[in-house]
Amino acid sequence: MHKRIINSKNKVNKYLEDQFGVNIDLDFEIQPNGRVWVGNNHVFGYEINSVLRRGIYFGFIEDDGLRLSIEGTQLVGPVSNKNVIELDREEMTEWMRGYALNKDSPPGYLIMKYGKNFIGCGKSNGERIWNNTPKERRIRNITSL
Amino acid sequence: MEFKPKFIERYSKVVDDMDLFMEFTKKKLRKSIRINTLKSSAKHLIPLLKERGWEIEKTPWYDDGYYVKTTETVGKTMEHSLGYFYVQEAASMLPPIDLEPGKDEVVLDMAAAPGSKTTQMSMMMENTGVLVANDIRMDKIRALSSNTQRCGCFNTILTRMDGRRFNNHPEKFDKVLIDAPCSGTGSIRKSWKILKMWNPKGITSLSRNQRALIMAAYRTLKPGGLLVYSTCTLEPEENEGVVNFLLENADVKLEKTKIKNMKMRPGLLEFEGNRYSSELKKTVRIYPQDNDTGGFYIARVRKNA
Repeated sequence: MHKRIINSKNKVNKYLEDQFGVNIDLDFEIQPNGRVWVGNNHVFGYEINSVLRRGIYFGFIEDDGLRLSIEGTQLVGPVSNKNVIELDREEMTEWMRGYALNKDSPPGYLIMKYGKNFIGCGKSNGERIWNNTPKERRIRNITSL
Repeated sequence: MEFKPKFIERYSKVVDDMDLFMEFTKKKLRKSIRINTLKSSAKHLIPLLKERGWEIEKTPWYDDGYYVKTTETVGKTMEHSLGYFYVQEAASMLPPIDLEPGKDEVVLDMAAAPGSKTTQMSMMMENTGVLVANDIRMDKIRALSSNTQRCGCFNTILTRMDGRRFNNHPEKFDKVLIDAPCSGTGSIRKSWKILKMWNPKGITSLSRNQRALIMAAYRTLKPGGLLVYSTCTLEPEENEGVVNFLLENADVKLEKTKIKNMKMRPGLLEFEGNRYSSELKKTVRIYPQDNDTGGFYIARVRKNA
């Protein structure tokens, strides 16, 4: 495997270990701009021209930690037992609309969970959880779940 | 909306039950979804949707495909946003079923956007192996990117190139799907605009491009590899004409497309003076009136080892 991918894997798993108490056996690629991509153990080494993207967007390395994408929380959430916050229906509705939540929670990056669903990653200051749900994934009228 | 006289004249030579064909082509398509088993399961999702009043019926030919009826906007539900299902026309699920992409294979989707079949194949491969999803148009690639992301397809590599350039990547893939850009007459039920814009003069240039694409697909396929060529048009020059061209110019054999519980008609052997190989009987035409779907053409081609 390419040294860069091994380094990325180690670095991402260090963040995951610290923040969510888990290691994920997938490959990662950290781009210079901080964006992290996740793939299986073939996609980063496969040789082909005109590549726009390998794997899918996993998260972003901020100054204070790793902020996961929705797919990132869906990969990490089911095996994590640290910093996973259960939401009630009202909170989930607000979250999916893209709003921040006023909720006591451990400071730092959190995985948001509603029932069995992992619905994104937020950043808490202890009292308020900030929301990064992309606009195109927000839902105005929740009749679901 | 009326059919153009030229369209009726031409399609009367393609379809033997033209009245029924027109009747079904005028009907609105039934809404269908595919459960994304990378993230969810029918066992989990179907009872949840039924509880909300959705009427749900499994497609007879594919276990993960479902017809749905609901007052909700299907693409604006929470389950859609989380990637638990994909809104996909029932007949468009067929080419990947025919290609059977398996675990750990290296597969190319040559004209992949917006990603219905890519996300389906990724799911069939259980996120293993490599699935190269290629397209040429950046606006369409954006949709491809967002759909593969939403569906969690982390075995995908997105590339942007003219499909004909795969000529320069010989013997690279175990399997190739070309769902070729086409005149789309099988999709009139989805958009009447297609019928409005339909012009038989455009078919020659589409067919030329499709021939170039299928030759590139042949070259990029490993010996013994499998190629599925599909279109959502019923134009013989874009279907049998293209596959016949491949048979004449490449070392391949056709395999019969078999899809359970689906009424399919054999490929044409002649159209407007053009005679095609009798092998073309192994390819299939899917007409709207046969299964209440859109129209499709599918050919399954094996590259000789």
